Amino acid sequence: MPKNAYEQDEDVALNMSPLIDCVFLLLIFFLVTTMLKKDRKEVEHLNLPISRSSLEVPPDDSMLAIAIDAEGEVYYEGEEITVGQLLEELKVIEVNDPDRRIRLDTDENTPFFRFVEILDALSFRNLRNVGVRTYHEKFD
Amino acid sequence: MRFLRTPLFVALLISTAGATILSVLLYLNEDWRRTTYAIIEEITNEDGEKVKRVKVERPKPNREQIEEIARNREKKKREELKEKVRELEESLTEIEIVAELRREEVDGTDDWDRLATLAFEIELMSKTMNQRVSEVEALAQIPYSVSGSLRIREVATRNAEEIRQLAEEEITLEQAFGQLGNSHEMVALMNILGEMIEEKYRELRKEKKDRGNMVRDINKVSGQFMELGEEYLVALEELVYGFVPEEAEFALHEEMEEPEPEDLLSDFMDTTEPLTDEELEAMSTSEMYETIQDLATAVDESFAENRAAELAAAENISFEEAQDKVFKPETDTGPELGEALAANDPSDLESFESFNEALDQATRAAEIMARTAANRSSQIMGESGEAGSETRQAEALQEALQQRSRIRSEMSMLASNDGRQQGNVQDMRQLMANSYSLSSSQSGDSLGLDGVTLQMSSNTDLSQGGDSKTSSKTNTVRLSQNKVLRQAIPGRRLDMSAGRKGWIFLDTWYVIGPWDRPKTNSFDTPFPPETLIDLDAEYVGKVNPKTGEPLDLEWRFVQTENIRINPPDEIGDSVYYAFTEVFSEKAMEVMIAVASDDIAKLWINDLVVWQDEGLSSWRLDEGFRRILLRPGYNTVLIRVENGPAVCYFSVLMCPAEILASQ
Repeated sequence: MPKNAYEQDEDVALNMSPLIDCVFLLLIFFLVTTMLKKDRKEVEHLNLPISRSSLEVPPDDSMLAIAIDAEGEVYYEGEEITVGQLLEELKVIEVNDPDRRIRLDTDENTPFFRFVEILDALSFRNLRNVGVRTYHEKFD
Repeated sequence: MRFLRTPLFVALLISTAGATILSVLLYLNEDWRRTTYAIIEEITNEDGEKVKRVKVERPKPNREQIEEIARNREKKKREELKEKVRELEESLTEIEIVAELRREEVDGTDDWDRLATLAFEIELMSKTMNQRVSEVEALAQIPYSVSGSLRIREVATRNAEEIRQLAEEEITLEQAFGQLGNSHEMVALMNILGEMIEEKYRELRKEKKDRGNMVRDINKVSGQFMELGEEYLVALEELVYGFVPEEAEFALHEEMEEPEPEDLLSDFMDTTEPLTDEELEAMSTSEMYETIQDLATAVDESFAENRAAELAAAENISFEEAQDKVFKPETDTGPELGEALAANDPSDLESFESFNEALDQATRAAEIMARTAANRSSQIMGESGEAGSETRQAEALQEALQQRSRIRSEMSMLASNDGRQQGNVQDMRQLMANSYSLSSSQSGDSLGLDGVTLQMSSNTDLSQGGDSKTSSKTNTVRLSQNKVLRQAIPGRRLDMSAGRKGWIFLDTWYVIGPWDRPKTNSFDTPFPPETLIDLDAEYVGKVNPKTGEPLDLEWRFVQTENIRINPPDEIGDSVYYAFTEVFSEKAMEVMIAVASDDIAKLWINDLVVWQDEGLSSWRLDEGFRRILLRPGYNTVLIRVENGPAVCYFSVLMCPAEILASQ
């Protein structure tokens, strides 16, 4: 009796391991290339000014975000706040964490007097670690 | 080569190729690279703007899960709210205690106490008169004027001391009549001096020799002095004749019913009872939020009561009258969330979200309310020491309050610049140091004042030394206006490490106004900023002459390179306020120069430091005050009144040590 040439074919089965390897490889690829957007306590309707000479400092969660919109309204960590309340908050920060990094987000059309007012309040409270955020393709 | 035919290799090859192709594609195409793998939705937010947002699909939790999450969140937020209730209660109790004490002081003062206050005012004024008469040559030349004023000063001092004693003890008819005799002598002397000054003033006016209107100003002060004397005499006569009893030995001064000696203030004070833990626990979240709102309102009321009692004591008016005059601040009690918070039975995601939102809003509002209350309380407490401490006794607090009001009246005497020479210097360091130590003595905070040695110069009006009666010359400072204008630097921080040293001018202010200027005694009418500095507040001001509508006032930020500051929206016949803070590295003696066009009154840490009532033009060296700054932040409030034309003010400061070394 001739040997059945297809005998071996009876236990033919799909080998899953290469497939799984493949999927893992793709998964790793996407994990590496995808950038997760962080919650930066942003004010969404801000139209950040563009600067060509700004430093590339990646966003940082521990930063304190103060924003001023085009109408001159002030936001503290993304929440609307009055100037009087902001000055109170700064008092607290001065005591608790005077070296805290502070990020100032402004709109292109933010009234300049308001910007000066906030900067002056920060400097008067001796909070010197302040940066102004501009639009950056990589982070925005 | 066998390896090349294994499926693993083939798969590796395919996936590498796939990844490479994908990478190249992503590299070449920015749009693909920036793809967000989620749905972007356009929604309309609260402000009616259309915003794009990433819609993240989550598996919908079922009803039980939602309820569970909602319960947990509520529990967490309740703890926060409870904490706020406690904080508010603490602030409220502190304010209420002081308010109660102040009211008692106003209501409980009997006629003799009021008389003692009048006598004290006369004593202070007699010192001022003596000082000014000896300073101004034209007046010092009048025979007997200096010795006469000195005599009045002596009698007034003795008189005030005696009346103070009488006010505290029982007195006999004999003593009362003796007192009346003394007082008659004093008032007669005052009138003689007043007439001499008046005569001299007429003479000088005729010859137009009254340089700098000094005699005119002194004549004005002397007029007030005489009025005060008359008022005092009438009050005393009324008391003595009105109280003459049938039996001669009857005590004139009825003993007040002394309250039982109590150890703890809160035991006998009519303060709001704090809620017990059980009561608080039994409350629903919405009830708790309402309690917080009620507490915040109660803090406001108590605060206004405090201010009214203070005003009543300062101006000798009834408490009710003062209450009408004083501004009543209102804390923002947050949104009405009663219904939203009560509905903690979320069945779907939407109602859960709205409940969550309400919870967040409630805790935020509660935090703001608690902080405002704490600020109010520290403002009141800063003036009277730590009443909250359990061991502090009512008497000690009362004593502190009385001392405080004494310091206040002495300071306002020194602050006044009317009839003083140009460039005069008044020393307020000791009074300010006393006032600061009053507020800090109980809290164990030494304020760093110990390191300051106060070298009191003996030639100011009210120096504490005993031999100051003979002072005839005042300190004056000459300031080269041009030099200072050139060299003064803007700033608000007095750091010892600063490179340039010398006069600094306060360049950053929050300014509010205009209000309508009262026609007479304008400083007697306080406007809201004198009660409370709230930079977010909005008030209704003067009627705009152009539109006929009242102006809406809010604090405006003013920063300038110019020493002279011109309030925005300048209108004639109006009142402006400007507020700022000054940072001082340590307790520091500072010379301060206030100049204004026209009238100005300046408070530092709520103490009156400068008061100039004449409609004068702006001069840098109108007068100087030697003051003491606390380490840290010091509040500065200035009230500027504009007469007919332009309005300017400026505040310059220079550390005393630098001034001495120059």
